[in-house]
Amino acid sequence: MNLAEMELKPEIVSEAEWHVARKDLLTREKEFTRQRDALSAARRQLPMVKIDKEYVFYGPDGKETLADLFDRRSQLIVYHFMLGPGWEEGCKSCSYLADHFDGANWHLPHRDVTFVVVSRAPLAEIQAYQKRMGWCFKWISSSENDFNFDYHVSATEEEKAKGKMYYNYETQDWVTEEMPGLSVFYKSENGDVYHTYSTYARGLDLLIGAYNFLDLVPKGRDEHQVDDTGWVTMDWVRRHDEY
Amino acid sequence: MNTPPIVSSQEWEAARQQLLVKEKELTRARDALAAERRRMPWLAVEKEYEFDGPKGKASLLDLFEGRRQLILYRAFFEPGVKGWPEHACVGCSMVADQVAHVAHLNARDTTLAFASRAPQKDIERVKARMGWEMPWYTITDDFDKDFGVDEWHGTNAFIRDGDSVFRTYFINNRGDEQMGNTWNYLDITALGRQENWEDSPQGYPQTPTYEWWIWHDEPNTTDEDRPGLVQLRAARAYSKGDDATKQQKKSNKGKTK
Repeated sequence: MNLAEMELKPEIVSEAEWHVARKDLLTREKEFTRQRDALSAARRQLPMVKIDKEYVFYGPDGKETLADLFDRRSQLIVYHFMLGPGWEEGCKSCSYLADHFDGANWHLPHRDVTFVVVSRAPLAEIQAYQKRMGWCFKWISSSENDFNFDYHVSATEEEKAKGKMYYNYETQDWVTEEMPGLSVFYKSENGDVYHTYSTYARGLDLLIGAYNFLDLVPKGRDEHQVDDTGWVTMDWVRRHDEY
Repeated sequence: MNTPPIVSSQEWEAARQQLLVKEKELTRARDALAAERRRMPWLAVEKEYEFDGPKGKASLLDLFEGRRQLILYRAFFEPGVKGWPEHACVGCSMVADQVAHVAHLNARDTTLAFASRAPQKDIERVKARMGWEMPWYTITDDFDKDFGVDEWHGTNAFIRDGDSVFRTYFINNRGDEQMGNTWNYLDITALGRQENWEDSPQGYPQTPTYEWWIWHDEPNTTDEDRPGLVQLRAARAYSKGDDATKQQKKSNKGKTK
């Protein structure tokens, strides 16, 4: 592709003019950064729900409860990875997100955060896919519990029968076996576990570093906007060993 | 620590829905901002620049590796920067840790590269030890000065039309934060980044910004074991009494975000 083929041919300007345009945009970027800080502050004010149900997961460290997963830290982030029982491979968009996990996870423990990934597939299937993709994060199976149903990323039999599922805090007019999401938990000093936060759909967008880079280049993400499920079309995304 | 109210599932859902409305507004605002970036005018780069790379001399055009777009992050790794020669600056190292598999950016016709003043042999050694895979070049001329990254980290974006190169974007300071998802993860936790500038409920754990940053291969048993932190504190003590940010910029240039 050359410039003439691009739909939008930007103005080519002098350095002085470019700086004026850049500073103008910077004002709005700074507003956005402050707005984001305020939103993060509001997250820290969200109430919490005590979890009384016991969940048992299977992972590289054997059988573990939700409380065990905190691994001596007080905060736990769980990414709900779309890999259902019997799937040949994990979701490609989740794989795109997962390519960003290990880097962040060097640093999260130093802010009292344990990060794990959960899927409904049995552990052996999870581990086969994890090996293929070369990821190091802890990945556990919720095959024997309702965790992914309770946090609204896996469709229940009832939802499948109705053709509607509860996702991203509303009832959707579609149903699919697995959806992506991320949940956050807090463990108090006496060992009680609380749910503080869950986010879905484009709420996960900020965690995709490659998108944040692409938002800076002239062609942007170069993809269609949202599809009718409200999910951004990652039609160009492949598993990193499939490009 | 005073935790926020502990509530029933229904009440939590109601509070979460309220926050979600604001989060969606922010997502749309972010899309609109990215749309404006795509309409920024372009600045022709007419000067020739020479970098050193793993395969020898390289021009700015060579850094594109044949792709349409180039993102160049200026990382501080050179004599005089805290950590030299064992490490690149701790903040820049943290940014490097968070670059995901480059295949995804390449699949969008975009090359991501890092540039510093350190010689290639040092860059190659540290890259190998830290497990980083992005191309990383040595700046040999006025490139850093001309593109606003001689004193401070920053990210420039370029596009090329044939052999003509245009600068399309530049971001630095907190703007670089969005390239690292550690901050984004922490922003959704109950405690946040746990830094003392944050607006958090009373009594939340908070420490000074930058101090918790680590080189991922350094021992982390106690603060005293962390050479980077010891040096940062020494620099802070040195500049005590003056405007901290200004002093840090002077005495500690480019070394932290």
